[in-house]
Amino acid sequence: MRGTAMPDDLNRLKKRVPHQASVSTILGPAAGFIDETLRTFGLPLFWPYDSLEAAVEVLLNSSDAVYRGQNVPYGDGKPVVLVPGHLGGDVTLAPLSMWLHAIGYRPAKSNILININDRSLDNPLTVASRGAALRIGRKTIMIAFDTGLRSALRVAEVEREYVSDVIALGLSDPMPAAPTGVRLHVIESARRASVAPDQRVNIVPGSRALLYVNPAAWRVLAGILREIPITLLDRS
Amino acid sequence: MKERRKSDRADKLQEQIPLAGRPMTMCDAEVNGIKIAFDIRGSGPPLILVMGYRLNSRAWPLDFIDALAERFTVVLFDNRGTGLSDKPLFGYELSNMAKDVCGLMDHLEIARANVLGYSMGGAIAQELVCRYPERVLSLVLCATLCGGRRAIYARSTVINIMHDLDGLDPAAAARRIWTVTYEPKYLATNIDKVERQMQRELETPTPLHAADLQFQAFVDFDTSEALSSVRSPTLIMTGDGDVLIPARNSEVLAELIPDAQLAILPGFAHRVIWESTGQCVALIGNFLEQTQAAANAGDSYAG
Repeated sequence: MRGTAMPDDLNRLKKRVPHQASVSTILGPAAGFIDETLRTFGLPLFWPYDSLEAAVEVLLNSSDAVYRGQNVPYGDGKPVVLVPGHLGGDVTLAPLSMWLHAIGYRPAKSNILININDRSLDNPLTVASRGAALRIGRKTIMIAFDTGLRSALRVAEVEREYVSDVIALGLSDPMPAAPTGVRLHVIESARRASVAPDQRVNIVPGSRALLYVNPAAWRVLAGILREIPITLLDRS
Repeated sequence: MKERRKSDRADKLQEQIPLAGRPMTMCDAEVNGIKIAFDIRGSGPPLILVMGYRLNSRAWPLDFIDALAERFTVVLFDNRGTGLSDKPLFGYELSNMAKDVCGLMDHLEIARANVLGYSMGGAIAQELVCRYPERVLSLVLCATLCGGRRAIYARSTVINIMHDLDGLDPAAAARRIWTVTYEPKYLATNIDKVERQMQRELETPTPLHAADLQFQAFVDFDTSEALSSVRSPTLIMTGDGDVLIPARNSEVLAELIPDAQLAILPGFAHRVIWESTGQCVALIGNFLEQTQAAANAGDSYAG
């Protein structure tokens, strides 16, 4: 498995990936939602094709042994908080949550019905990550999908006492900097490799929109989780 | 044959506390980079008892220890993560826990010993005999499995009872686990005894991280390929009502280990040693004495 993106490389990466003018910069903040939707799901013109492609991908992957917990390392019970991406919520992350539980982790609900604006995730994520850490007595791992990563990093920065690692499943922005004292790991679709050109980012085949049920991404995720050492909370 | 080298340390311990029936008095040994708590009882050929998942040496039934101590020098110890031993965040791979046992033998200057492993302790004993065959005189595997593809795992409902204990206090968690470890009829008729046993086990509760890491190690464990090389005489025993580690696993072990003896006790569950202590002591004692006699007669496996 490829290693973890380290903060030292991030500035270099940022320079390498130029910031592109987004719809929101043109139409103003009110267009943020449309901007995020277009960035995440592409132009509506291509949605029928993308849907068909997604259906085929799901069908082809449906019998993958990873979904049955085979050929993946068993977990050590670390608390995990899942952070949904744009237009996602606890429901869309339920398959991954059940799978993580089955392979030996303790996924906690983030109580997010739907992610329309990543700023609105901060409070529920703070409660979820702190609650999970205190309940288990260990630092939490946050697994964030595309735009959810922004909130995860903000919360991790403030809650570093309770969060040890953030795992990004898909990057919505150029590679962000990891908060001090928090490790950042990245899994990205091969189709978005240009967003994450660093060779130490874990690249997996398959479409970006389906990363949250992508068996290759889950396999890499299980490997990353296994490598993360347990960090007990400082109870003193 | 010299089963046990002269050991001032072990002899001194035995002089102080030679007989069965006394309360547990644990000593410490620096082993494999951590502190391992151990106790020695009785006299005779050395017999090391390796406890199972989440339990410490206080969990062994007292009458079981007392009976064995009349015939053997019984070495009890707390696996890493349990009891009075250190509880690090690393090193719970069963091969490494077997190294802990080997290190404890070195500390006690025991060259070769009989080894009895219960449940996950049986898996540690398998790792020990596969990795350090010269250190194991004979092997008793109780209610255990070989891991890997040959293992028959419990139903997910049973596993969930063992593993989904979040939010429960230690006593509630133990009572939940009883339902899959004790035979229901035994539990109904011996509830006071089981309750007392639980209180003893919970005097030094196992921290959650150690339990999780032991569970992970037990899932990863696989000796199915290596067991055919075992040359130590082996007794495999289990209860036919074990729903946690089904009795079929013992049959598989008996197929894999050359010349292993198999005893499936009818009407008992995973805690067969607690439910049928007398029968287990008789089986184990007779087997070990048989082995000893064969070794004394110059049988090849005794080296």
